Amino acid sequence: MSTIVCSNISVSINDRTIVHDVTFEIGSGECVGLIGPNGSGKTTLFNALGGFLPNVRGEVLLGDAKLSDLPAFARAQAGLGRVFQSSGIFRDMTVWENLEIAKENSSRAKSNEEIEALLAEVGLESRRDEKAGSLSGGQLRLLEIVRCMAAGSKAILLDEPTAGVSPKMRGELQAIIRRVLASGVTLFIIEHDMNFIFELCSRVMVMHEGRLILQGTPQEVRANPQLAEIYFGK
Amino acid sequence: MDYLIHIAIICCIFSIFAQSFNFAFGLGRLFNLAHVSTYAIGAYTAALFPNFLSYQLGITLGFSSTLLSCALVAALCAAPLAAIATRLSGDYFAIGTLALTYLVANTLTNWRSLTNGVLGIAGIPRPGFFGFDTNENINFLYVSLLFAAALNVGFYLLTKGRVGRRLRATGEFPQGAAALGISPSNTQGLAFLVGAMASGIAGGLFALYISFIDPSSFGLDEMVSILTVVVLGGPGSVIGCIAAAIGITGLGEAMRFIPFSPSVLGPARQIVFAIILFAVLYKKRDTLFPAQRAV
Repeated sequence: MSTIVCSNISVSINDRTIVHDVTFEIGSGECVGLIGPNGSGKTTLFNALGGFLPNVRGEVLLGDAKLSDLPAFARAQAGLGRVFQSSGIFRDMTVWENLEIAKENSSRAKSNEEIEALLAEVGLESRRDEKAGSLSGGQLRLLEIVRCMAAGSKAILLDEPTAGVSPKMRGELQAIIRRVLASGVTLFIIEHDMNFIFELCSRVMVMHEGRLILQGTPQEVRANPQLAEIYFGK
Repeated sequence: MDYLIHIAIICCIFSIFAQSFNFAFGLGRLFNLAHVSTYAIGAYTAALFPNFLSYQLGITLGFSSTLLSCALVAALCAAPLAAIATRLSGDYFAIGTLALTYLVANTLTNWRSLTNGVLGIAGIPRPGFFGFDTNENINFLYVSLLFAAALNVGFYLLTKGRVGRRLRATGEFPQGAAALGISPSNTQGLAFLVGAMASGIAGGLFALYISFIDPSSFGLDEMVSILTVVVLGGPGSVIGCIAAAIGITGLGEAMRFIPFSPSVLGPARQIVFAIILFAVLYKKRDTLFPAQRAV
């Protein structure tokens, strides 16, 4: 059964079409990567799925729920989580408050004990009462993923999780993402680090100039000469 | 002694007014320049509504019910404004609410049959408070302290609770809040209304205490004063806001003892507040508010 179904998604901003007629499905518990050069429309597609943009055409389903007509907050309530490229953590709040606010606004939220266990898993239990703004870039990413889990998201859109993260922290990030996958949550990841995404994902999609032009297993996509053409030219 | 009682009453009123602004602005980053309008609506309600009920229906309102009517009328007037204003964001919100301020100010000045225009309303009676004669200033102080304490504690609890967290999240990163299932417009609308109700109560207390109001009491000068209090106390800090309200009121009163003519003293006070506001903003320019983010 598919968790995320997108049919004919198009996004126009200031009369310019940024995303053209994108259609795909992601199965329940699947981890799918989205790659493509800068400006290819990946984050715009995520913003369209999350309900953060006006002028979006097409249909988005999360399980049986039709999200396309809902505002962003209602999509989140339906179970669509988001990890932002620029970090969505509230830096003025403590680490625990960031988790508490996710819990308070979700009907599928995890218990305090489960959240504390998750926090311990990413090594942030000793920082729970500190301002989240004091965390490093990598720790902010870990906390944001834990926050999506605390909210009980069914599917998470992860926008460049390794951006600004040290190589050492990437291993921890990969471990928590695998932990999320093991819990049955569906993941859709934008990433520029090819090795990171080819190791994690069972399927990879490639976007170029607002269109989905390739998709397949990591091996198929890596072997496709079109991929090199997109990044390096003919 | 009477003078100290007067200062204490002004501190109580000012702390409620500043706290009501602090809630939406300090936590939710809603730069609501129309806040002084709901303060004015509260004051005019206290001046007009009890008289209307008394003459038309023979109902006499007490102190609490007068202030409750101030809160409700302020919220009623603020509700459509909230619906419109929360569709705007950031600078647009501030500009939109500035327009609303002028709308209310012009209505107060020009609807003479209701507000008596620039001549204002004099002789506003003080209702009793459960048998307490509030015409005695010391009694009025006790009642003001009671309301100031209740409202400040109420704001403290709201700030530390779920509503406060939602508002802080919306203020820091509205899209991030939405991604957690929080409706930014509902949250901001609620803050707008709660702030309007409390500022309506502050306006009502002001009208009952001074017993004379006119449109000049509700100009942008008042906004500069409460903005100074909130910025000085630390946006979002309930305790800081109370301390700054007392400090700024005390400073304003202390300036009376400077041997300047009254025509110089009034503007000088506003200049001092503006300099304090600028200095604090400049000193905390990188830390006062978290940086805005985009999706």
